[in-house]
Amino acid sequence: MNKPLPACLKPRADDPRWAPPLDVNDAVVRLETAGITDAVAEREYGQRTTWQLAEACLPWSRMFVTAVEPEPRRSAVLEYLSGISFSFSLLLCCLAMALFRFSLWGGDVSANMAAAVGLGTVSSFITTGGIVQAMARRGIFLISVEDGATAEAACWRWVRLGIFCLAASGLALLTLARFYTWLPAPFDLAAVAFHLSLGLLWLATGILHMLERNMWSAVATAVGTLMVVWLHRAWRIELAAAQVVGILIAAAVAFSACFFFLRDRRRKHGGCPRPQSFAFDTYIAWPHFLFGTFYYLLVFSDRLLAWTVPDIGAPSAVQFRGDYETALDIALFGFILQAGNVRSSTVAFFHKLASAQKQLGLSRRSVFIRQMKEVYARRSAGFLAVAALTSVGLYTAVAHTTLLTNGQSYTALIWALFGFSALAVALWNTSLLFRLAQPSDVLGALIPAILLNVVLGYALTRLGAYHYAAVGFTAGALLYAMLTTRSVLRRMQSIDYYYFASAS
Amino acid sequence: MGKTSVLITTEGTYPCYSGGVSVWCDYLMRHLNDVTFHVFAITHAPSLQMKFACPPNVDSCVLHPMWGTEEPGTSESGFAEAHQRKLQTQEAVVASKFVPHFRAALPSLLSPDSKPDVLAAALVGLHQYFRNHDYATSMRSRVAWEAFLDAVAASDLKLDLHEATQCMRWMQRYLSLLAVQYPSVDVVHSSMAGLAGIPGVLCKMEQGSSYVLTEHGIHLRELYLALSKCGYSAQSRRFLIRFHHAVTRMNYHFTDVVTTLGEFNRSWQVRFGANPTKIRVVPNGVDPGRFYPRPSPPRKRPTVLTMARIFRLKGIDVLIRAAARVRDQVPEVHFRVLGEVADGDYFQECQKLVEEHRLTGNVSFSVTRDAATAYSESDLLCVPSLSEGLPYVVIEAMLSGCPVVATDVGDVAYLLNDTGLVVTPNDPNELATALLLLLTGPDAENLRASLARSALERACKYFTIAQFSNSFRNIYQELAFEQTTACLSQAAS
Repeated sequence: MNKPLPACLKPRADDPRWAPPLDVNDAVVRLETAGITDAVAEREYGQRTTWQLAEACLPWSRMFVTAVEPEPRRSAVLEYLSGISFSFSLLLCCLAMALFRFSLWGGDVSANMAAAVGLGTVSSFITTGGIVQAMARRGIFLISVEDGATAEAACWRWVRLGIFCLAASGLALLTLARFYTWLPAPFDLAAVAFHLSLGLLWLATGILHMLERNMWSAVATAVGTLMVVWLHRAWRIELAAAQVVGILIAAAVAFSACFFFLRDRRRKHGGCPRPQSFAFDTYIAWPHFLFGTFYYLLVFSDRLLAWTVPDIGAPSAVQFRGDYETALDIALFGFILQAGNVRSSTVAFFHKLASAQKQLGLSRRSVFIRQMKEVYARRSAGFLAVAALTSVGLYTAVAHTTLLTNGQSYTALIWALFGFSALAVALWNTSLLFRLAQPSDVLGALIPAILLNVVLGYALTRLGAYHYAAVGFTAGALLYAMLTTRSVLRRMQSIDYYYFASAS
Repeated sequence: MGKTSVLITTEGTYPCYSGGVSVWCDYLMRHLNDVTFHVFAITHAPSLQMKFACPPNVDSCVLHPMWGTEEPGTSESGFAEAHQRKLQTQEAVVASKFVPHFRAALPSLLSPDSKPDVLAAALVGLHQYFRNHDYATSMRSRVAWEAFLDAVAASDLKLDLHEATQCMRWMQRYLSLLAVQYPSVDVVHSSMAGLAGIPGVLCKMEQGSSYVLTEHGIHLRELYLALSKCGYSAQSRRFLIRFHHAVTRMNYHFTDVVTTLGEFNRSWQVRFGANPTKIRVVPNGVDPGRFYPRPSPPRKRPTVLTMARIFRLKGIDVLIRAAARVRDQVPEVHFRVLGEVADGDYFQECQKLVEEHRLTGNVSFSVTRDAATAYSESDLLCVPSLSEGLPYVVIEAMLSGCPVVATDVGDVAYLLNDTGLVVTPNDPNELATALLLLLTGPDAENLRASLARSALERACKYFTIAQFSNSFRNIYQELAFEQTTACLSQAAS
């Protein structure tokens, strides 16, 4: 054939997705849709039919090599920032604390009010933690399949359940606090007020996190904090009351943003909500619900144990331990820096997984598994290095300040730094296990970790001092990290299979 | 003898999508009101709204979302039963009852020379297994994965691990049709030769139902076209072609009758493995009571109508390029494109093209629910498609007395048979020349009138709904009769 190849059978600069025809059928289809009928084939190419033309062109057309488009990937720094974006609200609270001596919640308040705020905060996290996780699990799936209408409906359904649970647990909290004199009245009411308002804020920020709109959580926090400043400073309203109003306003701003972004998704994706029951949502998301609840139990059990150590002469059963809280908050700050790594490491791990898979044929599965084990080991070592640096840095920095005033607080800080470092590793493993659709592995590690935390923490705080609650937390976090590491290593033995089975 | 019961199976068409095949299904069921229909529709997502209301003779309508569900093959509204099946699907059961059938099916699905009998027997085995066992658990089991990798290694497909993962995930979705229990019917009528035909093969083998297959576009041909621009690797495309070719070949093998729209499709069907003796040409038909020449309202501007869902194969970009040439000679010309946007990216490309050619005052995009009026409001219909079967819009325009300019694709030339102008596809210049001939050429008005007259005559003779529905009624009755006599002779023996 001495004519040039038809344009449809060779690559075009404006069509990067062009691929050589697979066979003669493919070539004929392309010729026909390019307008090359039998008549055109004969007139312009001297071939009797389109089929003959295709057969003549095919060997030449298949010689073209198509360029492989590189997959778009965000930089590690952006991924890291995205990973810690959930903590921007907490950073704003720290800033407010430095500027005004109070923030959206907490500040220079009486010991009883501090205990009320602490109790309300912990109970709000534990009540909503599971709901937020379950909502995110279902919502992220629905958004990934471009079903914004169902995602919107599902989110609001979980929010309604969250509000119901907050109300029910708030009532239970009030009843128990009155009955066992956990807090003197009216501080028990204050605890419930913080429990309800903060719970609403967590539900809203949970949706924003799911939608990757964490900046709006920070905006809501900023608005709420400014409201607290205005009410407390300009109108002389009592700080706790101003804070509850501020939190409710922050929740309203966050919910408004949720409403807007969820509606926007629904409009973009079109369609109508798929028929489904709440029971189905629960059936799908229950491991995530348990994870959310258990995770906060693991993180906060030590504080509850420290606050409830019997104190002779104390007017109530719950005593806020300011020095312990400060030590734990410092360690928590270090944890946030490490946790930002979880997202970027997970993204990098699965990116590497995909690229390794593309380079290896089926006969080289063992090489693939070895490569992925190495990636996991390198990333885990990175976590340990960051943990060591963060912990040493924080400890050194704190040692040069007056934030901690006694040796016991430093002991608690050291334990907590270890504990939160282990928790960061555990979260990295958890992230991998969830991506590999192995939530039962996570729960299997988390439940014994909580038990160890509670049993050890209880024994040490009751036999020793409340600072030893941090030992229980650290032991629990270490066990959580060890068990999840074991699970990840086990899954790594057949990572090709688990990756396949994790999605469809 | 009671009413004939027919299971209509569709994929990406009736009742959730607009387009020619959906209209065909709607016409078929509405005009065969002495037949009881069941509809099984494969959709791409669970959140679709039905665009067609089922007529009263439709007993059941099941939508099966192929994608977008948490688990393939599991109903999201009634999961209790699915959970029960999950409990019965232990690893040992999967290995002993599922894997043998799965391993038997794989060589056929992966090889270029599939064996329809072997494949069908394996699929029936799997279908029966899934009556009591969970689909997702079985397909996602380690033994299924190993079986798949073994089969790929034994075939000449050179998949890497990434492609193997992707292909097995696709297969999981495609074969979810095996987890569905289909109604007991006399005839299964599939509207395409791809996945929608699987219920036909299963019902034929399990219940002895008859199986009719109607193709509008040729499934494999359209798949080749879609894959040429999808960005998948060559091996992944090869896998998809082989899988769908195996399914198509199995459909052609088991069907009792293949109906096609014309000669163009017929030649492709034979090439892809259909038995020529089973193929019957049944052209589409349109209701002349709905589409007929109406007095055209006075128009200020010459209007060229295009009725098509907006995606690449409809050649809207070619139309716009032709429109630029026509506008140069007829500045006030109006190109009216009526149809839903099926491909958002392509629509944007078209809009950009309109702006580039400064055609914003000449080209408009909208939708209509009153197609009949649209024809009477236009001077001519332009069909710039790159691929078609036997398009309804052309028949509707012929019956409405609206002259047609169309590309020579599918059986359009046979349909028009010189009662309209046929041009080379993907050639804006030739299309513009034909449009100008009917808009400004010497004696253009008379030419339009004469084409419209002869087209109306031809359409009334060959392409009415009565002819169409009678053809299918006869096919159903013939098959039901054969089925009955086969049963009687079996009973007698």
